[in-house]
Amino acid sequence: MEFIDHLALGFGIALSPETLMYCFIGVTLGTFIGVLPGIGPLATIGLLLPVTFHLPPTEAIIMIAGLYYGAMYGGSTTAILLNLPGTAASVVVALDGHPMAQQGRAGPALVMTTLVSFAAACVAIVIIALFAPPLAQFALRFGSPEYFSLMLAGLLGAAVLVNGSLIKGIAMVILGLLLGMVGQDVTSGIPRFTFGSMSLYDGMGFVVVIIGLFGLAEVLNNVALGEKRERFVGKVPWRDLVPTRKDLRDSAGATARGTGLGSLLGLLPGAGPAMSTFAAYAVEKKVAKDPSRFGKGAIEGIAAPEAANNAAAQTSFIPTLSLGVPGDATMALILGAMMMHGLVPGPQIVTSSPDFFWALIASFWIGNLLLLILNLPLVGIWIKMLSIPYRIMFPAIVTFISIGMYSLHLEIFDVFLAAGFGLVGYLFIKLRCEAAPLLLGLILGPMVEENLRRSMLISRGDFSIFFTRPISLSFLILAVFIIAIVLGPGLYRRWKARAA
Amino acid sequence: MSTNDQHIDPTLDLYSGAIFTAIGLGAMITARNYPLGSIDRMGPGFFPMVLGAIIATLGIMLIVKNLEGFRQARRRKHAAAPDPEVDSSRRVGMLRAARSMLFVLGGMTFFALTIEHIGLLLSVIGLVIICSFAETGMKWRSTLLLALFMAALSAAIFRYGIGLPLQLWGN
Repeated sequence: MEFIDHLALGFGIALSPETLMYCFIGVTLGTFIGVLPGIGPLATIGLLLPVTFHLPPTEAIIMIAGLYYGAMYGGSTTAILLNLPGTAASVVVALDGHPMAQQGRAGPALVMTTLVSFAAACVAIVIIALFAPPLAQFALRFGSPEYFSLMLAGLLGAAVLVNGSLIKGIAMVILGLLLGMVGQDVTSGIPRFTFGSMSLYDGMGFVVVIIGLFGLAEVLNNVALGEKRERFVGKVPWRDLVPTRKDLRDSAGATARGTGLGSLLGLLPGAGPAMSTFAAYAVEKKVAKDPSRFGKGAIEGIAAPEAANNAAAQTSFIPTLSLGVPGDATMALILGAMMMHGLVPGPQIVTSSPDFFWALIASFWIGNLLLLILNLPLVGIWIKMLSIPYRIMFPAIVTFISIGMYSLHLEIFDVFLAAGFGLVGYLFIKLRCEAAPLLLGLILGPMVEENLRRSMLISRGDFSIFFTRPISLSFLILAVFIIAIVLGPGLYRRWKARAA
Repeated sequence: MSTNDQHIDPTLDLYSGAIFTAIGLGAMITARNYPLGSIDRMGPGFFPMVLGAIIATLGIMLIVKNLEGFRQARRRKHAAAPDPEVDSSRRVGMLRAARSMLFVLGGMTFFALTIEHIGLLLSVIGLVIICSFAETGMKWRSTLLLALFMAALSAAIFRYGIGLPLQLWGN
C-alpha cells in the first residue's frame, strides 16, 4: 500500500521533537486565542501569522494548521458557553450546545466536541492520503479555462454561504477580487489602484486586510457595544466533565454520519466546513426518532455537526493543496501563508515537496490528538479565559495587532492600513455585510485574472472555451448546482406558495 | 443562509447598495487610466473595469430592491410619535461607537508614529493607555499595570522570542 509508506514518511517528520513542538504551540495558542469571544479562526491565524514567518516553511505551516484546529475548537467552546458563534461553522454547534450549557451540562458538551473531532480526524486523514495524490495527478491536466471555472465555482460557493442576501455576498466577493488587483500588474508591469503610493506596489498584504476586517473590526464593535456584550458567569464543575455512557451511545451514529457527510462536502470548492455543519444538523433532525429534542440540548445536535465540521475542515485541504484553490476564507488564508513561505500549492506540490505535504497531513492527526489530550485537563482554563474582563483584553489585542502588523515588513504604513481596514470592517458589521467572501476574492483575485486572460488568449476571445472543455464545463455545472442547493428550497417554497 | 433575508433592515441593504455602487463607479473611473486591450489580449484595465461594472450593477440592484422597504420604514418612523428614550439611547450608542473608534485607532496611530523614535516599551505603554480610554470608567491603576505588563510581554515575544530588530528604548 503506497499511501501507508507516504503516511509513514509524514509521521516521521511530524513526530520529530521540533515539529511536534510547533504543532503543540499552534494548537495551544490557537485554542487560547480562539476562545476569546469575537476572535474567530481567521483573526486568530492572522494575529499569530507574523510569528510563523520566522520559522522554516514546513514547521510554519504545521503550526498554522495547529492554530486552525485549535481556533476552531476554541470557537466551539465560546459558541457553547456564551452562545456567541464566531464562524458560520460554529453557529450550528451553539444550537444544541448552548442549551446543554444552560442545563449545567457544558462539560460533557465540550468534551464531546473534542472526542468527536478526533474521531472525524481519524477518518479524514485516510481520505486525504487516499485522494489527494490522484486528484493532483488529475489536476495536472488542468489548463487555464479549467482553473478559471473552478475558481468561479469556489467564489460563488463562498458568496452563497453568506448570512443575508445573495447579491451582497456576490458583491463582497467581487470587491475582494478588485482589492486583489491593487499593485503592479504581473503582465504589463503597470501599477494599478496604488494612488501613487509605493507601499501599495506589491499589493495589499492579505494579513493586514484580515487583521483589520476580522480582528480590529470586532474589537471596535465590542467596545462600542459596551455593557451589551454577553458574559459568561456560570461555572463548570470538574466532576461533571465526563460524558455519560448514554451520551456516547447516542452520539456514535451521529458522529459517523457527520464524518461521512463532512468528508464529502469538504471536497467541494467553496462549500467547506460551514455548509457541512448545516447539512449534518439537518440530517440528524431527519433521522431522529424525536426531532423535537433538537435545539434543547440534544447531544446528537453537537456530535454530528462537529464531526462534519472537522472532517470537512480536513478534507478541504485536498482541493487547497492539490488544486491550489481554497474552499473557504480560512483555507484561502492558509494558502496565502504557504505562498509567503515560497510553497506554491497546486498539483506539483505532492510530487515536488512530498516531505512537506505528508508531514502536514500527519500533523492534522497529531494536532487533533494533542487537542484531545490538552483539552480534557484544560477545559477549565479555557472557561476561565472567558471571564477575563474585556477592559483588560482589548488593549492587549490591539497591542498585538499593532506590533504584529509592524513586524511584517517593519513598515509603519501597514499599521495604518490595518487601522483603515478595521474601520471598513466595522462599517461592514454595521451594514450586515459578511467579510469572509471578500477574503477569498482577495487571495484568488490575481489568479482569476491571469487564468481568464490566458483562456481568452488561447481561444482568441471566444467565451465558449469554458463550455466546450469537459472538465471546465463540469466545474461550471458544479457552480450552478451549489447555487441551486442553497437557493432551491426557498424558491421551491415560494413557488409552491404562489401556486397554492 | 441566503434564503432567510427577510429579517434584515432594508435601510442597511440600501446603504450597502449605495456604497457598492460608489465603489464600482470609482473603480471604473480609475481603471480608465490603464490600457483596456481587447477581449483576446486583455490589458491591465480590462478585468478591473469588468469587476467595477459588476459591483456597480449589484449595488444598483440592491438599491432598487430595497427602495420600497426603505420608504415604508421612513414613513413608519415619521408617523410614530418621537420617542425621546429611543432617541437618547441611539445617541448614547453612537457616542460610544465614536469613542471606541477614536481611542482604539488613536492608540494605533500613536504606536505607528512613535515606534521608530521612542522605542518599543514606551510606544506600547502609550498605546495601551490611549486604548483604555475607549471604554468608560477607565481605572488608572489597572491600566498602568496592564501597560507595563504588555510592554514587557511584547519585548519578550517580539524582541527576544522572534528576534525582530526593534529598539527597546529608541535612539
